[in-house]
Amino acid sequence: MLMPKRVKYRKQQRGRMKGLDRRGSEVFYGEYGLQAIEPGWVSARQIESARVALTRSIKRGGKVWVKIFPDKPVTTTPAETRMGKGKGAPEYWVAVVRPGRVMFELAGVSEELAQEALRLASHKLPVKTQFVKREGGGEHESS
Amino acid sequence: MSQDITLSASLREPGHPRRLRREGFVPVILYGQNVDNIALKVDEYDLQKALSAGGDRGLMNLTIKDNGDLAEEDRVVMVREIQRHPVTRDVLHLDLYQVDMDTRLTTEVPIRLLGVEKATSGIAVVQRGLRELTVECLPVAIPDYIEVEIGELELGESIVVADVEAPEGVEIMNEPDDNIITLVQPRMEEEEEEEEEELLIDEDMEPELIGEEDEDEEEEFPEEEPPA
Repeated sequence: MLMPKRVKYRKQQRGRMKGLDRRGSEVFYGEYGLQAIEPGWVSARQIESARVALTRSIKRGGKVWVKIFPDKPVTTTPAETRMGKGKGAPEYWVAVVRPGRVMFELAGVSEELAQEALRLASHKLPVKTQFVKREGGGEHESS
Repeated sequence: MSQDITLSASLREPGHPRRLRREGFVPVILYGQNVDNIALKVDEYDLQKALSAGGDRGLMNLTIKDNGDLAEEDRVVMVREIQRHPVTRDVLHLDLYQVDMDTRLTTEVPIRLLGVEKATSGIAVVQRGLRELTVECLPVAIPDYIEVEIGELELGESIVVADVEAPEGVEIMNEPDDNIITLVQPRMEEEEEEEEEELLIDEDMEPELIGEEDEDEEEEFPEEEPPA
């Protein structure tokens, strides 16, 4: 699963997820994408699960880009622990996703297949998503 | 390039863009060489129509209504930047550039691939590099798109900028060895499975701490104490 190789601190505060993601909000590498429309934490396990669903549903051909990376550690305290005694141990890693973020991109497949593959992948994610297509130049292909 | 797209705009006071958007307008700024900047507003619906008709990558005629004391004629403009809402993709703001028809300008022109079905009829996937070319030409000579034929390409072969023939009067400004397209073999299912296994191995690992590594290095090489 995805996680950072080196970190400066083992634990992080939770933070806020206000506003929109204006930077990663366009389909940049592929032709189609899956965009988050609400904020949330996407864990490394969920990213991996969605990626596997995506690659399996497009079978052969096509290319997948994962555009989020889980770089935030989440800690949990063990069950039946008394109050106090400090912050728990890091358990898993999450990517902070805000509305507008294109999380996965696809290329080299038909639009119907891309839509179906991204629909299956979206069921593995904890945020509401929408299917997006590349805008502007370069999409005008004809045979 | 066709220039029959017309957009009508009216003057606005700078500021209050949200109020404008609520009223169904989009704030626009017009600028150009030897032209004063003018703050304008256009009707959202008219703008959508103009952009979808090809106005986002070509020339448009701009008519400014309620122009007051400015002597007005139709201006030839092109879109320099479109700011969109990240989720709804509504246009939030538009930059228009007033074009001087006698001066060469630099702009981006999309690449249109021909023969994609023929090229991928065997086992091949089109891997795209550049999707637009930067060209320099007179405004009247801006092409709608530049066509690239890929039907005869074999697996593993590429097309670079140097292979593209520019239309008359148009100069391509990209580096000659910039890649436009490569025909590659699709990923096999075995490769994917191997990759999945690799990813599962490091599940319980914890990342290295940057600070701790530095401390260890210091312990290994302690500084020599100065002689008393």
